[in-house]
Amino acid sequence: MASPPPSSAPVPAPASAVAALPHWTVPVLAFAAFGGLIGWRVGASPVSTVLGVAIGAAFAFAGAFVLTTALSMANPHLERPAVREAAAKGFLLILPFAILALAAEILLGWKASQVFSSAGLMTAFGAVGVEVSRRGGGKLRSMLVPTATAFLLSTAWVMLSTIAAANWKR
Amino acid sequence: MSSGATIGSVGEGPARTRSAQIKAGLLIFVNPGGALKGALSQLPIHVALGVSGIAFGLFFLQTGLDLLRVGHQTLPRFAMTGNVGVVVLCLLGVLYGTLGVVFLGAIAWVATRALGATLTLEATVRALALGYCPALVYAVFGLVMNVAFGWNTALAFGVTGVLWAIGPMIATLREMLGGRIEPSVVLATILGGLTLFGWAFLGT
Repeated sequence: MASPPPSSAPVPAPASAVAALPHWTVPVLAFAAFGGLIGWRVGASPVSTVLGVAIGAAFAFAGAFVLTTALSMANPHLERPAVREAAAKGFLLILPFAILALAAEILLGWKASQVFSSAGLMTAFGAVGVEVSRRGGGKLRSMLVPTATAFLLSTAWVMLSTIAAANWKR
Repeated sequence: MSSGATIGSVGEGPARTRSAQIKAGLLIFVNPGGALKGALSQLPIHVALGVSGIAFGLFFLQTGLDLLRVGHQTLPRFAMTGNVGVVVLCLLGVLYGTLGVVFLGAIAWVATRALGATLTLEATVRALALGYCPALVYAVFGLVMNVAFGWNTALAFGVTGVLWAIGPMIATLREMLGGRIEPSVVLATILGGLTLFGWAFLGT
């Protein structure tokens, strides 16, 4: 008797520890770092640093909510948990930028956290779009929605940082 | 049973081609580096290394021009000044983008082999080198701004371009590691750090 043909069912993605965390965890940690760097640079005090951490964390939490909501609205056929799972994986890509920003500022004295945060935001949001399209989201929508959202949030972050820097200096 | 015809393919060819063209056109605006990488992915390794070599050459050139503009030594680590320093720095960048990327590719290959990947060293280096397509795009724009308007662009355009390469790097590593994202992110952080801080050591 001939053996059954090999299964052609798609191989599920490997299990990920990331899936156990809320999807906003990583961007909150990353932007807490970015905010802390800016707070330390403009105020040079623990108070300004902690305030920067808090603002960065709040900003990232809001940004994660905005992106997942926008992607869910653009892909109504997808379950919200699937979008959040995609976001949890995609947001991981912001970690290298946060770590490198910390290393650059602390070890090399670079004042360039804005460059790292902007690039990290665009990369991570783009990765979320890729993850959403892998789970059945529309390819074009999953590319355009994160890119537009990342551009707006990146601009907002730069403006927020500038306003904070101007007020702390007074 | 049909051997090759796709159900519904008759009559849908022109519409699908137009849709694919529109998407490709949008991709160029949204992700020009990715579009460039897709077009070059079948080319030989020396072409791929040419991409990263030119990207870093232009990046280091902008570094030299910025240093010259603010009156610093253009190659401080080798005590060179002026235009000579700028030229040598540019050539150093080309070497960094070729031999340096081969070195990074070797590190990535060894690390991913230890984690069960089966891609060859050549394919790994090609994929990593092509990941610097965004850096090439940024470097070209930065050089234009630097020369035409006198802007200091090494940080804003050069470093940004190198950071943009981290995304494709993670995608490459993830593909090599069977979809595992956590080790890909860790490895990309290490490789990205080596790239950036190597530039800082050599050029600033």
